[in-house]
Amino acid sequence: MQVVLNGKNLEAPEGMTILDLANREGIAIPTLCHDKELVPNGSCWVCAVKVEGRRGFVTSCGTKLTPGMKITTDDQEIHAARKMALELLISDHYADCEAPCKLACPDQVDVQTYVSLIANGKYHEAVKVIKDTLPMPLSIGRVCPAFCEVECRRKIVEEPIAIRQLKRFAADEDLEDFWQYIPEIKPANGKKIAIIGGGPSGLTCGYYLSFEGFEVHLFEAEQACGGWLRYGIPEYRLPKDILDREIELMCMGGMQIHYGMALGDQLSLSDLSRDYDAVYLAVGAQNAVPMPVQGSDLCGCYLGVDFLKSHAKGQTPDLGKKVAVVGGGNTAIDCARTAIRLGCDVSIIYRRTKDEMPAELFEIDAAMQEGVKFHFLCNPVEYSGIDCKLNTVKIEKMSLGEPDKSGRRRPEPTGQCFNEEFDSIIAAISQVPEVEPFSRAENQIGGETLPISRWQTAIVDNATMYSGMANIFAGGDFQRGPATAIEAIADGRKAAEAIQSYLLTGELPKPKFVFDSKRAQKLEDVAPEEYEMFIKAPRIQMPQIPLEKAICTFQEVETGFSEIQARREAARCLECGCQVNDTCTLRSYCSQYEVEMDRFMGSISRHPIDYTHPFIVRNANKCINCGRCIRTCAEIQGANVLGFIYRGFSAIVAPEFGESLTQTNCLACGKCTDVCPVGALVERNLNYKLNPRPKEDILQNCGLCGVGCKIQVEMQAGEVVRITTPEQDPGFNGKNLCFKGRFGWQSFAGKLSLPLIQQNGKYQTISWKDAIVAIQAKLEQAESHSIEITPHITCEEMLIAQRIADTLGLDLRANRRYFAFSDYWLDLVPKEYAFGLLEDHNEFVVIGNLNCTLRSMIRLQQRQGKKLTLVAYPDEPFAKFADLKLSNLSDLPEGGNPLFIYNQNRISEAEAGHIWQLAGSNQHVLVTTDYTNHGAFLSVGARPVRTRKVDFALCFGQVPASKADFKVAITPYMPEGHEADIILPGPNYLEIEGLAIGDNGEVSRFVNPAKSMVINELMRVFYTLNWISPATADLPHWNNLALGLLAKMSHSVPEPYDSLPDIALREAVVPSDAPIEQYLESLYKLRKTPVQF
Amino acid sequence: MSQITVKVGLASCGVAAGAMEVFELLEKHREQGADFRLMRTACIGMCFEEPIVELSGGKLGTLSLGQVKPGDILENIEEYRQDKIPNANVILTETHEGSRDSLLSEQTRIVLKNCGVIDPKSIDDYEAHGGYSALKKVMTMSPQEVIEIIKASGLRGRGGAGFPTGLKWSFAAQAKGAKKYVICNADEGDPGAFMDRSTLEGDPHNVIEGMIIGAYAMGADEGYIYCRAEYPMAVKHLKLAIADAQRKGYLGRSILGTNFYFTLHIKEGAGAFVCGEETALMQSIEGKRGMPVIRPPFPAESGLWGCPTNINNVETWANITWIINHGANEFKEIGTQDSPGTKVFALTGKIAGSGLIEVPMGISLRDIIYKVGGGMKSDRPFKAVQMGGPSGGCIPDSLLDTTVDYDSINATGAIMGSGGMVVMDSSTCMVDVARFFLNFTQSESCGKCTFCRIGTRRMLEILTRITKGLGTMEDIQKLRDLAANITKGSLCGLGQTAPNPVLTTLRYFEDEYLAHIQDKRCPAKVCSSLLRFEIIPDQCIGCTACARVCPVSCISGKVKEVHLIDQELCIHCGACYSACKFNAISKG
Repeated sequence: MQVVLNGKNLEAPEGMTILDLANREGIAIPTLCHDKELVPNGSCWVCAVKVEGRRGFVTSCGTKLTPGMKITTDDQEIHAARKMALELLISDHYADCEAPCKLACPDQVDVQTYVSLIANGKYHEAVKVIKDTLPMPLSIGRVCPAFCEVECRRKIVEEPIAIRQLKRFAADEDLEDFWQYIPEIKPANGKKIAIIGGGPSGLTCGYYLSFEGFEVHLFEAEQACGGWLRYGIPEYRLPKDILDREIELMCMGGMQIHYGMALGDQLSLSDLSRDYDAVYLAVGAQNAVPMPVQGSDLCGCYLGVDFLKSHAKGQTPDLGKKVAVVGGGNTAIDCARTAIRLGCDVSIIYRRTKDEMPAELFEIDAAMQEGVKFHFLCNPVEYSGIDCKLNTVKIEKMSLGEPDKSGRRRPEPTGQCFNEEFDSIIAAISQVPEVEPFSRAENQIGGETLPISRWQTAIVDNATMYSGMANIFAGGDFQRGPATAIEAIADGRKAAEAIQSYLLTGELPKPKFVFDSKRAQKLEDVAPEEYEMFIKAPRIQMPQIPLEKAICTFQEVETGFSEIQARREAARCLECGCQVNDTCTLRSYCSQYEVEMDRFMGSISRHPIDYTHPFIVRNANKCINCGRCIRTCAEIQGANVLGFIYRGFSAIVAPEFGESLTQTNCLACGKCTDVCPVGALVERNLNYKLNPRPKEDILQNCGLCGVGCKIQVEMQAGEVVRITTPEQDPGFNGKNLCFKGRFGWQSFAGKLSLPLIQQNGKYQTISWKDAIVAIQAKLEQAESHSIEITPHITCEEMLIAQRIADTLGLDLRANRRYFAFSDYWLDLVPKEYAFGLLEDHNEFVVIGNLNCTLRSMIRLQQRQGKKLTLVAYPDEPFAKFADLKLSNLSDLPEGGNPLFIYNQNRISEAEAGHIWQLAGSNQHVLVTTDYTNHGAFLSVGARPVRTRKVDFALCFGQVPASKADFKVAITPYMPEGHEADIILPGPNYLEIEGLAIGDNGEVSRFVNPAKSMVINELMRVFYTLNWISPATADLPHWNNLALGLLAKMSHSVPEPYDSLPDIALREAVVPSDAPIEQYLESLYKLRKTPVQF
Repeated sequence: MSQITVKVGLASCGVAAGAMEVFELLEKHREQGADFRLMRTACIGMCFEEPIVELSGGKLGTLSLGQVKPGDILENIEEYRQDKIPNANVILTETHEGSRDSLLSEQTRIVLKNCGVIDPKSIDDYEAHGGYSALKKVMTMSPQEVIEIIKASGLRGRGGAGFPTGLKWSFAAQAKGAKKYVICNADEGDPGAFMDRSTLEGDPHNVIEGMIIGAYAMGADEGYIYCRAEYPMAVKHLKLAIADAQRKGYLGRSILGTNFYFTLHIKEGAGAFVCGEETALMQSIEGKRGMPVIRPPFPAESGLWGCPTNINNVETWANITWIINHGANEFKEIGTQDSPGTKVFALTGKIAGSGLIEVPMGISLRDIIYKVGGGMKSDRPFKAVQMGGPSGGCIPDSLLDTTVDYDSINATGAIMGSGGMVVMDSSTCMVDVARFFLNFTQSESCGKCTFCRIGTRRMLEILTRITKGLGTMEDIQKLRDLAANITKGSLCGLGQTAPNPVLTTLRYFEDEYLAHIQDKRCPAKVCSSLLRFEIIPDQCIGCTACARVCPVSCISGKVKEVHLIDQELCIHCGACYSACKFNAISKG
């Protein structure tokens, strides 16, 4: 039929929707509620389009084309409506895209991710994450005032996470690590950068640019780098050897530091601007603001910064005995604690009270503990001395008045004064940058002077640090005035990004709108009730050196967390940032449509987050009522555990009566998490604290049954942390996975890592070497052998087993249980889309229970109008989908041309025989199994084990079935209920690169995402035992042979069906005996057990 | 002298007003030998006069007494027996000289022809009044002929949208499918609407007969009446009527001896307003949560359980028998060319004659309110009438000469809707009215469509802000923007029409919005946050009544001295205003 899409005449087939047509034509229409597997719902309305003649908008997902239809997919009105739909959804989306700690950090460090990595024991990985934005974790982990902890939601439960200390822990760990994190250096791009000032801002800018391939020259006026970190922060807080090592690491990208080079002395800005492609000025705020007090020119009067710097340089002035420090900031505390360590009697004089002090509370408390006295509400008004030497300070008492602009109450003089004798006084009021040199001619460029504010700071663009003059950038304290190191670092990073863009693209980076949903602007606005479900776990206290030692040395006071402490502390993190903030469809549309979060602010529905299900977190606050989970669960999976409750604005998705998912018939297939377009339903990992950071995705097949679904294995820090269906490149299984496929692999925690030997009825762990020795000893005495395989292993392992059998002059054997009468007729031709078979049939007869994903695939076929008959199907939710339900195969009506489907491991052979008889010469039978590699198992030609007892038996995948004096099993798991003499760990489907042929010839590929070496260990055993030649002890060799096996199978043709073989068919069901089954079973039971966060 | 017949109106409105007491008294009396025939009937429409007792069989002819008290009724009957006009509130007489006769004389009764006349629990009485004759007539015709008659009559769906019924039937008739359904939508949910309830309580067979005829015409063999569970009497009468019709062979196998087969079920709805929407209604019958689904496919093609289905509302079905009996031409003579026939309205609000009326299409709103409805209840002037329930809109005084037909009403921004008509006078704040209706629709949204679920809530919040004096001029634009997209971006009528009350009040009463926003003033003196209560010193006698009722004790003053309200503390509750007997408190 002909339709008109945005003015273009197009030909389109009957039954196509507007959305499908637009997709075909490459026109993007946003949608949140649409799901290809489901009947269009049309609830989100972000897919609104206009059709001529139709009132209002129509949903493009739910509107089918009609001849001559004229469609407009975008115009101002449609754009505004979509934006409004998104703004309305967001107005009731009570959720944080990013964790508040990250947003609170001036440098946007991804705190939640690195904390979770520490909780998982991945310290090296944590440092990588930190260094994405913060290249100085060793220093910042020691000195940061931790803006992040101020916003930490754990504060609502009891105390914030010790984020700063965790950062330090990870950095300390990495420092000692042989594989210390050093980023890859990009090839030189020929651009030269000059950086003035070796403080945190300059170093950071140089660090990022040097690793990006820039030639970086950093000029430092002093003889060492670090700036304020070196000359302002005392040794007891940041040991200078740590700082030195940090700077050394930062220079690994090729940054060259030139010491003793100061702007205005050795360097001029005009030269730098000419000789370098860009200049970053990070000269800091070096000059102390003097105290305007009469007598401050007396001997014994110092300024805070100068005092600390002199001390750091080893030129400590003689303070005398009694020392006063004036000020309430961190510098004042640093001066006081330094003076204490110099043996002085120290008093801090501060105009307001402790509550108003800008210094960190823990610093104030530490100073008090160390013996610093505090004169609150006091202000020095006059210094007097004898012989030009300070002797007495006149101090006026103050009182607090109205709050000033900073919100702190203003101190007001009372007129009451008292005198106190001091030998010296250190005024730590404030600092300003040295700006005088910039007005000189040699530092002007083309007659232009660097723009300076009235606070004597550089004026720059806050996003790019660009000064607006020539190629000059400026940041850190130089543009902020005295601030924190983390802010200086943030400036340095931003400057590096801007310089990179400026030099490589010719343009400064343009601010990109990224939408951020926030539960609250501030911690105080979060409702405490929502945090009641968390069990209180107090913050771990940072270990410190004893006080008596602290006050007389400059040794670092904090000694750092132990590993146990760090992991326990990191585990407290409440994971506020959304797990899917990188893939969330809603967020990406909100960014695209530049949604204003508060345009329709109003009441918000708040719900406690349901953490009770061990595998699925349900957060109704994020739900947008698209109903995809409900519809998938009810209409495809059959469990039907979710629904809408309440009406109007309160309508929300929940299990019946809003109870826990664990109290429902949830099959824990996890498909709801897969279809959820937001983060309202997300997966959990029992053994790993998940985080939002993008993971490395690897595609392969599942190896837990004969269906062999395509899976996306998500890796973090070399570990599998999540398995889902591939988003970009979906397999035949679409978004369908069963519990085993999606969550079952979490039972791999119970995997064998070393060989076991049975002694006195008990298994004991031994080394691979000892295992070889034990086997060798037995082999020497053995005269008869049996080499066996199971269908649970890869083609590669089967071929190795075959080679071993060859070497020993034997036939390959297998347990009789794996053979069935129907083996003769199975189609073993390897295929890429074996289940396409379902599409060729219009009628399905399923006998007995079936693999979960296959079930969903049949259901999807049925929804196209095909007929489904279930015979002797268990009383399961899926059964309600049957068009016809029979208890006995003999009740099946005659006629039709159905595809018979059964699982070989779930019905008896006698029943299967009946099916084949009914199917007759049509042979329309799809046999499925719980075996990973049934196809290859039948192709390699193993023969049933003999009844005769042998001396030595070896089996891949299970304990040998042969009667043997000495049994060796190769299996990833402890095969409970079976006795072996030695068990060698074997690879599971996530630990080997290999092939398998599943049901109906579907080819599965495994890629060893976790880079396991277990197969190499096994091959080492085999060639040590002379079973295989050393030249073949290499997996690629067997990969090639496996491909050969596949090619050979492609010539195999199933034998023509004639009649049932003349053998007795088993009456008993033969379930899969793969040792993993029992682990999967116990894990599956957990879905009914409520857990706590 | 023939025996006197005494009929008591026992519809919900009558029972609520105490008619059951009257009936039981008469029944007891008759059992003790009193000489009159006692009958029950339902609602004649004049709900404001309930309990109503009709006397007939005497020389005075038929006359009806309103607001009957149990204590007087026996005496009234005795007076009637003696050919004396009873010393009571006579509301209707056969000679049209009674006080309320004009209320009926302006009406044309097709749907309500039997309501308040027959005994709704008696199939015999229905048959005696010509019941099931239409069905018998239809059985001699072909289904196609029946559809042609309905088409020719020009009958339009009375559920609100006014879709031609005959055309709708022909779609269902043409649809392919072995199984078809007919559904009667009796999920009347508009606040202030009770047309369907009265119809079902008063004349259930008429609706059932209409459905059987429809089923015959469309080839359906099964039907549902989706009725609110909150209408127990309607459900009871329907159940009885279905059983009686089955017993008499009008329902079930071989109806009237033919091959035609039809069964009818009642599905009681649980009170979700949205279930009045046809697709949500069918979801609800199917046992699912009542949520509308995307159309097309329309029910005629794929409806209940995927089968072709025809849904009409109670009033539409109730027109069918009359059309069959009287013919399409006679029907077309009533009403206007494009909107033939009559329309039932439920009059409520500040109108003197609140109740149920049936008027020919084409009548003006002015006539409905001032002639049929008897004008305003108090001496405050008419301000607006809300038509079509919460989905409808407010029509102002200046448009009172609008005639009642689908197109004219739509042009005002309101809708015909199912027939609720809420009359408002100058004491009504139009912003508050919009807020009231929006509060209803937003809480009744099924929660599916984004605009309806969240958008109506945001509109409500803006309106609430405005009534509290916290609105801004930007809010007016936000209301308009939200209204536009909610109307265009919702799957069903609930969302598509929810902004109507806001849009029409903004259209006709924008000055009231501006008064709230700019002057922080509620012209109708309704929005309590904007009210200022002050004591008028000249009027205050210092009785202390106001101070005693003030819940926050913000009124001070000694006995016999002028009192004073502390405006800082006042919470604008109005208790003092009501308590003052000397008009000494000003509200404004």
